[in-house]
Amino acid sequence: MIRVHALRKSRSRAMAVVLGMTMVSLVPVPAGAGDGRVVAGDWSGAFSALAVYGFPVADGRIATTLTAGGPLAFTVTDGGRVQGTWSIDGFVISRVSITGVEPFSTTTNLRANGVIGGAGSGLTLTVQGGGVGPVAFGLATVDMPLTFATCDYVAGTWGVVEGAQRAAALASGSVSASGTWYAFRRASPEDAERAATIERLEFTLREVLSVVATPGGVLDRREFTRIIGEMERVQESLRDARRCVGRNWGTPFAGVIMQFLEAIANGRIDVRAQDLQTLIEGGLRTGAFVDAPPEFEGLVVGVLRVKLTAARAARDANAAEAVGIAAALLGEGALAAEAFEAERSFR
Amino acid sequence: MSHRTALASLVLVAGLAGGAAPVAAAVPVGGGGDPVSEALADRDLAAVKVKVKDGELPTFLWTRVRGASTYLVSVRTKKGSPLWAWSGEETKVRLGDGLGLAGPRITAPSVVQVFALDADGALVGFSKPVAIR
Repeated sequence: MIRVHALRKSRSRAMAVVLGMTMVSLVPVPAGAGDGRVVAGDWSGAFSALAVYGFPVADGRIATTLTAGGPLAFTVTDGGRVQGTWSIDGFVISRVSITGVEPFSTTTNLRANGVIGGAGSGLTLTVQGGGVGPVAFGLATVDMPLTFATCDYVAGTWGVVEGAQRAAALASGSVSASGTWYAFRRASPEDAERAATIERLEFTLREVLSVVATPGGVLDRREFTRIIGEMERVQESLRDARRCVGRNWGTPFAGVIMQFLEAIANGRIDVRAQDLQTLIEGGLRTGAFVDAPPEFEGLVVGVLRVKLTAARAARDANAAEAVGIAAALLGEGALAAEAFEAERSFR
Repeated sequence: MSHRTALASLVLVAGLAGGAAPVAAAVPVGGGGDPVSEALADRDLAAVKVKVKDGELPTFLWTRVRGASTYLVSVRTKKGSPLWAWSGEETKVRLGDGLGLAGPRITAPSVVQVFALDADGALVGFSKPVAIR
């Protein structure tokens, strides 16, 4: 159940808007490096949702991050038919800022489940039940197309149709919602357990990232890096790497990190330059830039330019240096040099 | 657990611990045509020396830097397209680290560059880009 304070009505209404939109009005986002269909066999994985929304209340504002993730498992027949189930657990972090009251945060749980069907080129999730607090999900479907596929790993993203996003923004102030999904082909019974381990790690990663998405939040760099390292070790043992040599590479965390970088690029989340540097580093390490549409890298570079402008205005040497390092990682030598020159002039 | 406590448990902002044994002195690195190296050339930063061991997956090794607790490795093509990044306390990493053969591969002429960061994430050293193949 949602634990609420005096703001229960407002927040519940906003959540209903977001969840209703999230589960009903989804359309494919532009495809990335997809190169095939889901091959026949048993698959295990996870899918996730991220919604960032805010709305005004009397003398203040509530900014909320909804993040959720859960396992999915399905079987693909030789004919390409998909059958399976999914469930999702998540939580909502709200930051409440009201005049005369010290800002505070609340955490709320949510849960839902359903079945999976569709063709081998993508999945369709059907929501059967579940809800968050007083909000119950109705029967709805979510199309989740493939954007990435190798012989033993598939992934995709989904987003909210622009019209619905605008309508929801009118109702609740501002809102966005998107998500990712991935699955591994299970070649052995142990693979299901390994896939579940990765799914648990992803949930922890989302917890860490949710803090960053909350206004004033700071990224726990050490925990972020540790989680990625653990995922890599499990993934190497899970994937039939030799079979996939020469194919694109990607990891289950690529979509999660790309999702946050996109939210930053679109102005839905603001982070410190130092945290942006860490997220870019994590994105490069997990393959987020491999899966991403071609314009994605340019968007991220654009954010770095904005951060450099802000660092100049504030004469913030640490932020300028972080921009320089991040730009160097992206191969943007000229921008990196510009940032390092600015950094030097501030010290 | 209260809401505040629950949130606080998520905000465990850990400093970058470590404290590797210093072996490299703070020697400015020359530019060498790389805009990043040139921009950093006259700063009081340590020179990181990088070696590449070729193989199916190349391994990168580098010298320790006084005051560094984390090393940040950047792999990109000579044309500037990013391929991979990694950070850690060690002074050696294989391309893709734990991903092994399921990770990235070098398919075009590329370089590796290493940055040394202190516990606050500030730059204390860097290498010139070194060719991988």
